[in-house]
This record gives sequence, C-alpha cells and structure tokens, in this order.
Amino acid sequence: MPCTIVPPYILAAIAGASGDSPVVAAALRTLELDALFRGRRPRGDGDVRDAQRPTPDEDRDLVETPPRRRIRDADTGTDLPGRLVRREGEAATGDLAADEAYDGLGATYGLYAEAYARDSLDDDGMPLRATVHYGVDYSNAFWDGTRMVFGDGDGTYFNRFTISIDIIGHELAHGVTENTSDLLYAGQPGALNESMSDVFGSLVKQRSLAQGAADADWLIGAGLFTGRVQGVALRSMAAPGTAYDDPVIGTDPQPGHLDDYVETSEDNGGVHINSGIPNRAFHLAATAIGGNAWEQAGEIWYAVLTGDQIGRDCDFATFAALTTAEAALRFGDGSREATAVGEAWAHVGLGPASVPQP
Amino acid sequence: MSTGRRTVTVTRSGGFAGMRAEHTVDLETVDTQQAEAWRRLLADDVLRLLPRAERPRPDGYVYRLVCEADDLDVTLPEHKLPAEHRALLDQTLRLR
Repeated sequence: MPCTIVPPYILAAIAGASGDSPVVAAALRTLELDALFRGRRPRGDGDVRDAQRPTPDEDRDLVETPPRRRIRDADTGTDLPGRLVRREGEAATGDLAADEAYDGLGATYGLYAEAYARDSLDDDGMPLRATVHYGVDYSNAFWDGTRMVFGDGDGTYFNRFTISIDIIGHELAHGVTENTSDLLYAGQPGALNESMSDVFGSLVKQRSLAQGAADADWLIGAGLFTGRVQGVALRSMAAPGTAYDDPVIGTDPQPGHLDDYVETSEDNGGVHINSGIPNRAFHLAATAIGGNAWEQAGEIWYAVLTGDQIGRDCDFATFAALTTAEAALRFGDGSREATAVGEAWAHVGLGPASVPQP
Repeated sequence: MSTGRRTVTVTRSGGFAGMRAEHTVDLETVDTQQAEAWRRLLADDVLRLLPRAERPRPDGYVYRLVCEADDLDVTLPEHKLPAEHRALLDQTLRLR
C-alpha cells in the first residue's frame, strides 16, 4: 500500500492555478480520471473537499444555528449525495436511519463543542452532512471526505449502521482527523487514525449516556449485529479480540498488545485490526484516571490529535510519547493523569516502561 | 493470455467492520451472464490505469483481484470501482 498520496483537493488547487504548465495539465488529467472512475463530473456536492461549497437546495433558507445538519437519503442507490430529507431544526422525518443520523450528528457536535471548544469538524462551523440508505444490503459506513455515509446492513447479520451512536461519532471523527493531524490511512498512522475514530466515537456515546469510564461498555458497534451473530459488537476497546466469535462471520481479529501487531497488506495495512492496541491504551488510561473519559483522558488525546507536534506519519511509539508528555504538561509531572497514561501505554507494549505480553 | 482454466480470487478487506471475505470463482463454470460481467471487468482499464496517488477513503472497502491466467494482481479501493463491477464482486463474495 503506497503511502504517497496527493489528495484530490491539492490536485484541484494545482489545476486551478494559472498557466498551462505540464503540472497543471497532469493534475487536470488526474482529476478527470478520478471523476471518470467515480462516475461523476469533477465538481459537485459529493466530491472530496467540496464540502464548503454550498449546494443550492441545502443552503436555501440556511438555518445558521449549529450544528447545521443536513441529512440525505440515497434511496438504496450508490450515487452521492442523495436526496435532502432533513435540515437543521426541521421535524423528525419518521425514517429511523435519517433521524438516528440527525441525532447522532447533534451528539457528536455537542462533544466537540462543549468538551473541546471545537466548532464542528473544521472548527469553523462546517455543516455536518450525512447520507443514509446507501446501497442495497450495504453492511458498511464510511467517510467520503465531506459526509458520513451509512448502509442499511444486510438484515441477516448486520442491522442498519446508524443503530449505534459511536459509529456516527467514529465517522465524524475521521473528518476531525482529516482537518487536523491528517494521519495517513495506512499502517501504524492508519491504525491510529482508526483508533482516534473509535475513541471519540465511544466518547460521544459515553457522554450522551452520561456514563463514567467505569460504567461504559467500551464497545464499538453494539447493537449492529442481528440476534443470529454470536457477538456483542464489532470491537472492544477494553478487551480487543473478544467482541465476536461466530461460526459464520469469524472471530474478532484485534490485538491488544504490540507483541501481537498484525502485519498485513490488506485493509490498508490492518488499520481496523491494529487499532485495538491504541484503543486499549486509551481505555486503560481513562479507567485509571476515573470519572468521565471525555474529560482528562479525552482532553489529552484531543490535544495531541489536533496539536502541532503530531505528524501525518505518526507511529504508535510517537503517539504514546506525545500523549504522555501532554498529560504531564497539562496535569503535572507525576500527576495521576500522567502516571495513568504512561502506564496504559506500557501495558500495551509501548513507552519506556513497556511490559511484554503476559 | 492463457487459454487454460481461468479463476479469479476476490478478497474484500477493510470497511468499518474490518471483516475479511474471500471467494474464488471459476470463469468457465459461472453462468453466462456472470461470465460476461467478468469479461467486462477483467478487460476494464480501471484495473490498470488507477492513479497511484490515491487518498484512501476511511472505512471504505478494499478489493483485491488475482487472476493468474491474466497475470493480474490488483488492489482497488471501493470508490474507484464502477458500480457494475462492485456489484459483481459483492455478488461473488456472497457465494462464499
């Protein structure tokens, strides 16, 4: 998996520059190819990094009150963005997925705004966009660079992906990461990118339920499996590798210690697998500190994710060092928080005091 | 191109769930309609011309296609595949 990435918005910026240089011509060609493969024209609401450009119907009679939600319906097709069904302040649609998405966007906005003083994904009031009912039997949800997109599940093993509020928080956290550290989506930085989404997704859920770290389930995607699956969720931050064990869909492959790191070329280098390691570190830190996980532990993780010390290629060891340093800076050397964070990383095999897998 | 038996192994990884699916299809035994869809996919330049400078889509699926007879081994993100091809791959993976 190559890590060299020229984001489409940079290509667009190059192509938009004046002059007829070969670079501009090449950028234009790539953009055209890109659009061709997506089956749509180079510009439009669904295009990557086109989020800030208002589309006529979405922003007509714009309600300026945050979080500026816009929910769309793909009507089981795969063309994005889909049909606008609910804007900020409008009454519930009666469609479960659309209304769950609306509420989840609100809860996610609330976590960032109230716990971290962040105004939306870009910290500049960007509207929160979601599309539901994407595809037929589509058992997935993703972030397309401008919006979160949710499938209905296959109904056999998977329920609809809006069913669990941490999945909504997870997708939106990709937007925050993209607007801040922009961690590469491959290998260790990719697994950190995934872990950030699980961490803040879980924090959205914990805060919406007013649950302290000790009471939270620390599961990602609880309720997503139908009754036919032997499993409680897709991932367990507290005990990676234990979320499901089913004869048909398989066994949770997540490691919870660096010794068990999975090297693979699939899944962009195992980003959804190895995220178990930093996920467990966050759980250990937050439960050792106690109280609400979105407070001290969440503040430390958020400060590092959005700070200027982190690079796009940040690996586990660097992230462990940055969060440990941030905890000491924020709460003092030898503080409960600093000790908890250092020990949490040590338990998953990272940091100066790291311990091997028992 | 080889005139021998042609099989294609499809792997799907990634996605929010991070679950892996794999299935091998024998192009000589699939029904006519499927065989035609496979011919269109394997002949599609999308498999060879994909831009290398690609920003992955978080939680998007990643497909890998291996066809030894065609000397083909490609990894493609979901959003770069035309809907017709994606439907074929997902249909194939449901046979597993």
